[in-house]
Amino acid sequence: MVREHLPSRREVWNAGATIRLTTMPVTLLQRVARGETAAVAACIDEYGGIVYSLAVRYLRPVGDDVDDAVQEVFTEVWKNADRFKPELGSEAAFISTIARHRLIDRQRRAMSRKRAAVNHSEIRAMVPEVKNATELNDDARRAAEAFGRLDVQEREILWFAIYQGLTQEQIAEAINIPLGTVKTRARRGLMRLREMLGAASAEGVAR
Amino acid sequence: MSDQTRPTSNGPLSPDALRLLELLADDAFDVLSIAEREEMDGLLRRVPRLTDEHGRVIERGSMDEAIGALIPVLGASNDKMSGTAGVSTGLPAALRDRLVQQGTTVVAAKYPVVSVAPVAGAAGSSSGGRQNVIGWVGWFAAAAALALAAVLYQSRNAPAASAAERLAMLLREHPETSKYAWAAQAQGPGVSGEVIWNNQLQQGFMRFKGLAANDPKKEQYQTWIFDGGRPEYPVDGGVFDMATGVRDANGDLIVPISAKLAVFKPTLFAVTIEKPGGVVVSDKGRLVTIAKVE
Repeated sequence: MVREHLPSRREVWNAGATIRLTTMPVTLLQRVARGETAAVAACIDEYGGIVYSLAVRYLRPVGDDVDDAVQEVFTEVWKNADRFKPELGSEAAFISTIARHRLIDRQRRAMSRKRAAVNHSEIRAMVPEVKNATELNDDARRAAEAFGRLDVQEREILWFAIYQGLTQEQIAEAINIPLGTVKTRARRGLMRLREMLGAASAEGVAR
Repeated sequence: MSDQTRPTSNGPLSPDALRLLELLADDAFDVLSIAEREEMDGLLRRVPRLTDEHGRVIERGSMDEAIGALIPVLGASNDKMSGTAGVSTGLPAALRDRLVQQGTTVVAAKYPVVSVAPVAGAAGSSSGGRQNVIGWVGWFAAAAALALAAVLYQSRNAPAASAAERLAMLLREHPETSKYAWAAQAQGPGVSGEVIWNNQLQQGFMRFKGLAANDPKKEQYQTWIFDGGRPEYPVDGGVFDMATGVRDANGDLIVPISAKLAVFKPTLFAVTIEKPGGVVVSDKGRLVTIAKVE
């Protein structure tokens, strides 16, 4: 089996094709925690886009400084790099979790400073779908598949709450459904997602 | 799969476990009342701790894991969506530069590098940049009581001897250690030698003949380990320079392998030429040599 695998890799290399020679994503933070400053830029290039994208969505509607928030998030990431445990989850999930918590804090502070008028009219047209699962790595594929198995109403609520950073009141207003329904769908969707990801993780450990 | 490795399951959720998960989900969306938060904290403090349907302890971050896993997926999906509020989500170049500068400063302060040696015996290497400077400062501070000449002599020669000695010791004490011959590739036509790797010990060295000198300011050699247990990603085996490597009694260059992750089943060792400090992504694969695991 090994013999069949190796030559193809070498042949591709020798053919001069573009190859992604990369360590596992988890190693970036491990390298950072060892003081390898070269890993800082690589980490930013890998995850800067998703953090910036989240920051834009969470903070631009409330008028907060997106660039400042992204810098705050990454400072938090660097300071916590030594707490990252690859066996507990992906690097992307670790950074995303830090980013979301930090952005929610900033969003709530900004909203309390000024009762921001948030325009959600254009959000209503979006359909929460995910990339073709075959284009994603293992962790992301499991998450995409689990997300795809949720009801469309649950996906919609999670999309608004997690990726757009809307409060449940804002979601209820934006899509014109009762607040209680938003709360029920959000809770049920997240619990089902956690259960499916937990099952996939347990199977992975057992393999 | 044996029964010992099969994940255990607690079966259906207990009412308390279900309630705790509901509260954690609400907490993730920041909609808990004060009374609900107290209820959640009480359930989290329960002894024995509550477990989910997979037998895992339910913790404060249980929902965060699911949310964290989903965010990159939703971000990826954004690329395909049109009309997403009309915002650009690419990281601006100026912000990226500030992040790199700021991050480098923070990381250097929080994780100071005391010993940097992608190649044991890399004294005098110019490839490590700031990290080497810190390492040298610490080294000299610790050796302040010694004569400068002696310090310099030891710093250049003691580590240099150790790599060859460690290789000899490895082969002497672990004769089962495997050896795999290099096969020269386009960027290293004159290279020969072997990889010496003990998977049980997760320790190994590379022996080279005919490796061309590199300019550490422009490029470095980087080692990769293809692992059957991680088929998607080769493991980074560290960077090194020809000039700062260790020579054994035969004049062969001896370079220790510095695997950044555990290697489960090595299938191929490779050396490429990369920018100083190494890379995590190599576009063109400037391949110097490979050694297949037979």
